[in-house]
Amino acid sequence: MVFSSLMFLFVYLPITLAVYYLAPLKLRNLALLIASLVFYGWGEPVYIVIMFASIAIDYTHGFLVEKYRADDRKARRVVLSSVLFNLALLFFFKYFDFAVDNLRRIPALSGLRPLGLTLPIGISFYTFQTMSYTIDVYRGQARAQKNIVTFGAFVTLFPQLIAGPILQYRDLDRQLTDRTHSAEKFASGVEIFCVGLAKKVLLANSIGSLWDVYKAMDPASLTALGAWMGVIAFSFQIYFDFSGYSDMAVGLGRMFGFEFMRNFNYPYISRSITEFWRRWHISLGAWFRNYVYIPLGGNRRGIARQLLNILTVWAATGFWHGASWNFLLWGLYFAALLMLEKLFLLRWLEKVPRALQHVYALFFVAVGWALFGLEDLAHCGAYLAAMFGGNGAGLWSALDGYELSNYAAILPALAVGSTPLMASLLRRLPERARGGVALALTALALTACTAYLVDATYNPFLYFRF
Amino acid sequence: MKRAIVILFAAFLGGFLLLGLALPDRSFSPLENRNLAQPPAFSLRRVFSGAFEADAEAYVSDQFALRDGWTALKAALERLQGKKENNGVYLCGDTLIERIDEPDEERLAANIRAVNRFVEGVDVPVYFTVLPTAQEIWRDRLPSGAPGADEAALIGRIAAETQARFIDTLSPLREHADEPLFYRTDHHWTSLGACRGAAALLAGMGMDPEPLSSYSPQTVSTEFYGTLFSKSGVRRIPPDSIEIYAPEEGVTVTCVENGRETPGALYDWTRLAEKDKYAFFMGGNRPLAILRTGNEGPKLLLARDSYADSEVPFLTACFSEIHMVDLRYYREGLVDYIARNGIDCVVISYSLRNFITDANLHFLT
Repeated sequence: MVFSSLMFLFVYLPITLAVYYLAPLKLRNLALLIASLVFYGWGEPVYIVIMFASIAIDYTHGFLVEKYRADDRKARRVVLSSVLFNLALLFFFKYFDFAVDNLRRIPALSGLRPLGLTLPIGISFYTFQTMSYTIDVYRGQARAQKNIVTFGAFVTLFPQLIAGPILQYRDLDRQLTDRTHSAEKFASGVEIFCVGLAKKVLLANSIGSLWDVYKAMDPASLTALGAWMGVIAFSFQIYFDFSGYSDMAVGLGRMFGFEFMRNFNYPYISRSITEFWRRWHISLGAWFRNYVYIPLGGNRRGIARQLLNILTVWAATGFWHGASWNFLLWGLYFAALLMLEKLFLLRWLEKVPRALQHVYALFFVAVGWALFGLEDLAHCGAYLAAMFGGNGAGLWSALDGYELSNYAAILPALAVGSTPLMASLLRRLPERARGGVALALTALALTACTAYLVDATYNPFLYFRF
Repeated sequence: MKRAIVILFAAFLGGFLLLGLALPDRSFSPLENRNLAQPPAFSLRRVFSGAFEADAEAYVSDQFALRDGWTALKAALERLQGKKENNGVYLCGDTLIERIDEPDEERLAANIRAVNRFVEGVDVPVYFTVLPTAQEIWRDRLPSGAPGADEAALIGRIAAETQARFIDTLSPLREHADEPLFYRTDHHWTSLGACRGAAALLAGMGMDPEPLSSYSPQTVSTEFYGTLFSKSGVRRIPPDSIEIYAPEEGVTVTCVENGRETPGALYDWTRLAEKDKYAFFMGGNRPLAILRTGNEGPKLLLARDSYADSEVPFLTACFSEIHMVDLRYYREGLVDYIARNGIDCVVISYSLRNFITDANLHFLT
């Protein structure tokens, strides 16, 4: 199930909230576990099995790590086994067919057949999350969870199950057994949820159809303006889609008493790529830093080792996004930019006007989205050529004018929405007015989103496949 | 104020949940002209196959309280943003024009092949015409730069690749582009458009069409809101009127469905009381309808889409019998049919909109 659907908003959520708040405190984690299993099983009921397997296996691993606390060798082996299990799960469902498709080009292996399994939704998110559990317990940053219902609620927690934020167990440990519920917390959850819903349904879906126009066109006939409009549309779509979904997760979390970390912090106001990655998909960056980058030595073992670590982490980050070469390329592209910034570019950038720093960061991020958004490498190359006028199709066409006029109203809204401007305006209002404005905006967002969802002809969710 | 937000949220979500349960289910949406999803059938097997879930989502969406109001609100919000199309319909002032995109190459090639295979398999003359849509004829009314298929090029290509005797309807309709050839709220042509199309068809077959001046048009409805009205969600637009030119007297219509014969008519007056008033012509979709005109002339087999429903009144004068076949529903093949019924000539008439998307043309043979 996705949050931005009538089924979720008008059937699943009210029923789940009612059951949750009517249940005695002791049974609330059980209510959450059952609700989460229904949520997960809705799309692909068979894959609930994966949830049960994950709960059982990771629970056992946590238990064993604690048991062998005195014997570090054994404890390490348990951690290794847990990591291997989760990576194997991820590899099997997400990368097996990709590996097969590539290996088949070797004559001796041409008999291999892809499995053609549908990707269990959110698998990239929850395998990372459950890996953090055993590691955190091993590191002594969290206690092993004795109660399997509570642990099950952690693994399946529906607000962030399928698209993050990727929580680390130590951040959730206490909240699982001891969290507070209040009207204030719930209300702030509603506000954040509605902001996220509006981002997804009103902004991301709308601008996404512009990207679809240019993505579907033959890149040989794509004008430079058209190619840039397409890539800018995709930049907005992926930000509002993904950050909207994260906002909805954070909001839902609060409604159930949880505090999740913020996943986005206005990434498009960055002035360098280094800054961009501190503001984009923060929970994934934090995960890689905590469980890969720092264990590899981080920046403590000299510049050469640090550069290698950056390369490793960003290659993995790219590949995490999808089983396709373009994602790896996208990761390496950012690794290269980050290494250059680390070596000298950041020092240079500090000397140029701020506006130029923004242009620099947005330019390379947008070019990156072209790599990310077009899986077919030949298509991707031709598209990039069109962006730089390399295909002789001209600067602009009547179609570009038509599309620009269709999106003339929403493009400025997207640009403003990518900055903290609205939030800071709202903060400057006097306390009383602020409440009224928030109430009115929430009502407006719910009404408008419902209209778009009832008329839904277009409601994809980009991060579903990751 | 915090409490107010919680109450608003709970009332909105819970309210529509309860309202949906309380309101009776509708079986048909006149506005959208389609059957609405009904409560999903529950069984464990269906739950595990995902069929239950898919049906349940369709049910919640189709039966959502105030559904028509929500779609109208969405259309209004799109308009407010200055969007020039909604759900594949161009908003051109009081005129709605359906957007026709470039076709799927495989489908188009397969359909051209299906027609050619049919032509090779029969020994009566086969005429073939592909009707342009309002998007082509009224190109000057579209928002500037609007994309959409190059229908003239597509029709030219079909004409070049077909082995049937191709009749050009595009040029004659273009000559009259300033006339109301298409409805403003529906994708079909008006009776005037059908009259122009019929004239082109008959001339192409070497026959003499009646001149337009010989008819005395009569308005039968002034409250027609067609499919584009429903699809676009636009509400403030004047309705179309439906006119008839040729009288229905003298023509007996027999409709055949699953081997059962029922009497039909050129004009089904009961349909004027319904939402989809275009079904007035021939009484809506018919797998097979046989018209006996009482006139002298050859026997015609007309393999067609719904555009022919309003065109056939202009054809009756030239044929003794017209056998109208809709390949979406009539799937027994036409080669035997021609021999069995002593058919003298065949016309295949499709709107470009349908010819590039239809998946049933292989039922010709």
